[in-house]
Amino acid sequence: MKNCLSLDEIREMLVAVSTAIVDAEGFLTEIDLAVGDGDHGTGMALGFGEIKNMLLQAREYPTVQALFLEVGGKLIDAMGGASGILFGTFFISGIRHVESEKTLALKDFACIFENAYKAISARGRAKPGDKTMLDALYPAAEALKQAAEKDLPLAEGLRLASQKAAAGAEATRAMKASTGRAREYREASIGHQDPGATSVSLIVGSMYGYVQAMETP
Amino acid sequence: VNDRKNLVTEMIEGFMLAYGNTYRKLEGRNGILLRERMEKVSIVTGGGSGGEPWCIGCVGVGYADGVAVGNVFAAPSAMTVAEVCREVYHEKGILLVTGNHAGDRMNFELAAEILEMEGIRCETVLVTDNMATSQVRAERSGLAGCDIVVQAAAAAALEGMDLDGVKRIAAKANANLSSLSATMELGENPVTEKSMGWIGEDEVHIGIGVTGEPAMKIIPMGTAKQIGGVLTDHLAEDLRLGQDDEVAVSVNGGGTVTVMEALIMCREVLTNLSQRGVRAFDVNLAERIKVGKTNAVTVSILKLDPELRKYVACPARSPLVFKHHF
Repeated sequence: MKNCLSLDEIREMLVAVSTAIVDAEGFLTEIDLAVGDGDHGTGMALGFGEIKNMLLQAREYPTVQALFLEVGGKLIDAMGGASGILFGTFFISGIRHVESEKTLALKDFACIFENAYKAISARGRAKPGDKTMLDALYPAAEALKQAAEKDLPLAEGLRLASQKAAAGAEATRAMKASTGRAREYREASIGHQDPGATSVSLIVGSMYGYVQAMETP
Repeated sequence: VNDRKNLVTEMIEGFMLAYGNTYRKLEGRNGILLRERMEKVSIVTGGGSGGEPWCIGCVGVGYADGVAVGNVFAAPSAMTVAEVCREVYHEKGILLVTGNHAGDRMNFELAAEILEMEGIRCETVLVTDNMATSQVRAERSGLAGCDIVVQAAAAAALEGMDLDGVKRIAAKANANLSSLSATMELGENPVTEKSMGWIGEDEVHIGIGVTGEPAMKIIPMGTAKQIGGVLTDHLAEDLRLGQDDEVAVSVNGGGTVTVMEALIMCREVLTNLSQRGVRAFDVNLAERIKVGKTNAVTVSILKLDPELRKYVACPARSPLVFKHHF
């Protein structure tokens, strides 16, 4: 059983994450049209498409910090706007206090998600319940933290986080947007899933998918 | 113009062709730096394009050492801000100054985090001078005050103050600075050529912000005396100005306002202040932010103490704006 990912596996995992986002472009666009201007899918696909190309060129990264910084920076530059900076923050602020430089174990994932949640909450001036990406990120971070405390295997921790993120994204349907651009759609946003939370759920889900596939012979 | 999608790139190319002896541009990024790397705390600023001379004009001796230039009405990327900071002299730390707008704030905050990971020390001051946007100062957006705060901080840095000191001066300038705009006509977005809004012929909108913040009130079209009176009354109340206070005043005639009109507005503001017993120590009649065919005037007042008084009197110059104490 795999308990931590090597640098090259982390790179491969991020390729899987990028693929999941690029493949979901149509779906993300569709749900964003209900609560915004419909550019979320295109922006995410553009940003993660560039990451995928970059990571497939199989460059060697000296540390996981360097890898995350490059991924986050690429997202900011390619996507621009609020989504770019917030998903860029996920990677850059996420890796900030992680001590391990060559591998990621479950406790490091927990650290990344907790830092990312705190930074995005502060940066976007939002909290869980506001119908934002935090509604998937926060439960995922909590699940990872608890799993790490219990010393669960990596795949099991990611499975729980992925479940919680999906449930969190689903729960945004009932919420009323109170921040960001979707705010202008307040009442009209009820009944629709938040695109940002959906993207976070896709990211966590594909992280789990990658680790699970590794363990399936 | 040549190509509306290429406005910022071509603007920077023009700037570099004209002033390349003094400035350099980052490779592949819209960051402009003074060639001279002075061994002091550096000041880095930035914001969206489309309101020139802000922000491309805010880099120079006595102003910022580097500027991150965003696209039209868009924040510069955190990666550009970080790259500007890596290239300016940073051994004594860097003060980041930008307007309190979500995009600018988020990108500058993230840039500061990246730089900290790389061991470059930086502090940030968000400029919150648009008094129309909130009762709470920390929640206000920036208006015409960014280069006023940058200038005061740069003067302190040039004097040899350390990063904490320079930040303190910038924060103090910001805490004592209020701006208010009066808009008679809104211009158009230079990219889309679409009007940014409509103002009735007999109306003046007070408090419109640079990123589309709505007016705090609408008054009937009046004379310079009436409009200047409204602006000064609000600013004086906001800053609690009274007998014997000293201030620096900046009158920014943006867009289609003529120098003649701006001087008349200056007359009204200064007369109003003098009737309150407030002394205008420093007056700057400058175009700071100018958006297309907008017809607007912005008045900024900085309440002074002896320390700020010393710094606002320092000279600052760039090819597009200057500050001189007369």
